[in-house]
Amino acid sequence: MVENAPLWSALVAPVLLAMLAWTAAAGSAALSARAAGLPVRPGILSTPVWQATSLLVQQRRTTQAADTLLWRLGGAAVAVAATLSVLVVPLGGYAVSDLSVGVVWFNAMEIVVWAALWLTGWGSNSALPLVAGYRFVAQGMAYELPHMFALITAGLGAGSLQVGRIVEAQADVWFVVWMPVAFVIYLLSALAMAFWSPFDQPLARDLGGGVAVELSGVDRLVLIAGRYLLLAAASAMAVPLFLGGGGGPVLPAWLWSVIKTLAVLGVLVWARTRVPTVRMDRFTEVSWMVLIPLALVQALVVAVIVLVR
Amino acid sequence: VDLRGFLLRRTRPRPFVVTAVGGRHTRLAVERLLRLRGWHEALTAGEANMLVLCAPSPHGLDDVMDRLWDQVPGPRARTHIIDANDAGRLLDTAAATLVELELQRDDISARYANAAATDSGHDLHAGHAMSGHDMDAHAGHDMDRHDMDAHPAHDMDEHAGHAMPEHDTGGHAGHDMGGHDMSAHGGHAGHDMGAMQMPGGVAMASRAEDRDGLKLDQLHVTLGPALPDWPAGLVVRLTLQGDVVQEAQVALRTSSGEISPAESPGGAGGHDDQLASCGPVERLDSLQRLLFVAGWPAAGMVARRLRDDLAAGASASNVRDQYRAWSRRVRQSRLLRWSTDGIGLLGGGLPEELRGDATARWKRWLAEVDAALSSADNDPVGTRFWGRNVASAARTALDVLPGLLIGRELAAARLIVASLDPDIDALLAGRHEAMTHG
Repeated sequence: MVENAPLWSALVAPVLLAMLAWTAAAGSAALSARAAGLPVRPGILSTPVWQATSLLVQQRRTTQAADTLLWRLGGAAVAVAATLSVLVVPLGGYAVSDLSVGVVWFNAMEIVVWAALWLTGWGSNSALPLVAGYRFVAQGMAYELPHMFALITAGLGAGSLQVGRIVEAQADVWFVVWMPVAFVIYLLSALAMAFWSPFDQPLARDLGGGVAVELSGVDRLVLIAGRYLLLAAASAMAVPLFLGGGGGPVLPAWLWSVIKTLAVLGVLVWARTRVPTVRMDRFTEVSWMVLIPLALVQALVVAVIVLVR
Repeated sequence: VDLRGFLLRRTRPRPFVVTAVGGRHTRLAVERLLRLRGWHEALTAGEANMLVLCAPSPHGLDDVMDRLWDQVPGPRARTHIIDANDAGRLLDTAAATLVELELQRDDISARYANAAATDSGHDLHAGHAMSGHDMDAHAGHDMDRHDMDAHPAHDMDEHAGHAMPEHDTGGHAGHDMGGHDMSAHGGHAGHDMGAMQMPGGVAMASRAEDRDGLKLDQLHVTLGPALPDWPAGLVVRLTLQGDVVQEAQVALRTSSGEISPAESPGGAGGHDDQLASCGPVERLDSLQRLLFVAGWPAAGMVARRLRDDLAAGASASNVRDQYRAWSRRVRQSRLLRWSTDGIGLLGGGLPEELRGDATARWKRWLAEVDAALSSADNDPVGTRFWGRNVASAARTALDVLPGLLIGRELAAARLIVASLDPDIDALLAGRHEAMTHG
């Protein structure tokens, strides 16, 4: 059902992802405006653009004894990893490349973010970004195992790690129906991998912006944009994994993919207004004592169903 | 087409707001304007393009502000707001400066020129004295003073200098490292301990045993006085291992320099004239600060809005519905309680408003605002005060603060400070009077 799109689609996918990211940024700006008691006008859509251009014309900073190469690479790698991760995500019936190990590819790209964010914190040779970088390492330890079990559960249901096969397996029943726990864990870990609230401790205000403390200008822009790209990529991947991909009545498959992605993205962005940041020193325990066992039980249930069916 | 010029003229202000002791009214006015204009508040000088000082005295934080100013990337503008009534006009002026192309271009090229001059000066010096960035002098300095006072590498970076400019080593902009290195050489040239090369001319972090008896790097981080969501005038010097606080010292930054809390006049004799500085507006101010520190800007922003409405003279009936919806959400937030439960625990013998853990304190604040809003229907609520000695509570809070911070992660430490929110203005009020009258 999912076919490889022609090669030029590799250029289109980043553009589509960027549009999703921009939508998320505009939505976030609208929610902030509402909290501030300001009217939410259509003009708010341009807010991310002007924030971005303001950063574009800002001077870049450097710090004493910074590891400049790794520091700048780290920021850029977040955006690059997010972009690469969507190559396996189908839009309707087409993916840039429906790899036989697509789920592993997606997972590998998000692991790049671990290194990227830690390097951004470490490279500036500054105490607060360093602390924030390690916060993300701790966060990775907390969310990654439940996250991988959630991914594996979807693969288990389809008997394949190929995203196209996973979509095919949901032709009758979406995975979210019979693996809801895995879906919820996936959404939680999507927030955590994009260091989005409530898992935004690596960029937290209590550290003056965490790993971004020393960043200005284009370096800051690349990191912030990368975060929105990641959030968008994680939302897009939720659709083929749990929400039946492009499946749906009447409308064309690609439109269903877009609608479902926007719905997931909307929930993730909105989550920020409802909850404070989770302190990672407290969350890790919950993650290991509650989420991992839950994810395992979910995987077991799915495995039994697959065997019995 | 001059694209760069086009974009520069459309630069959005990102102000970094610094508040000095006594600058609360001005800060409230500034925060209100930022909110209404939709200006994004910068969390550090490095992120900002505008530096805003809220301080009643013309000088006093000059050293801090100059250091921060060095670290604001261009295009940039700065302003000092003394009187809250001028806030709008001065912010406008600063925003206009920000998009004055010629001015900004001159500023940027002047900074490049300065940086180049500093670099060549540094080279000359290095050629004269020792090689490049070699820090043997500094290493000697470390050995000399044992591990305790050695400055770790991370201590020297400029940013910690920015947001927390009270660094022992001082903050330096990206381009004026030269001066720093030179002073280090000059000051300790006698202690030549060998030709060990240090990365970038910075001494390595010193090490000490942590709580588990492991040898770990120590970081020295100073919180305040220029830090968002932080009590004006408070300075807390931390020794960290990882992000766990090992040592904490509290100081107060006044317009005439730094003093220890023991030197403050407040609290000791009970300044009754300070009773008036605590009401629903102040409580909502503390709550918005705590919510921002806790990483819940949406709820914090609503608290600011309610605070501003009350301060502007709104009656209880005007804000009650909004307040109830907001306070219910905050009170019922399990995640917020989860963050603040069990930290900053204080027992009996202390003023009632400090007792309990961080959760107990913010819940008490909510209850106090509840009470204020449920009485008096048509009076302006913002003018109501509770009779309480704010200065002595602040003094007590500062006394117990170091003990509460030790052994806590940085995230918890910030929440503890926010949950106590000592009113340094009240604590130093007597001192200001003494200075103006004497």
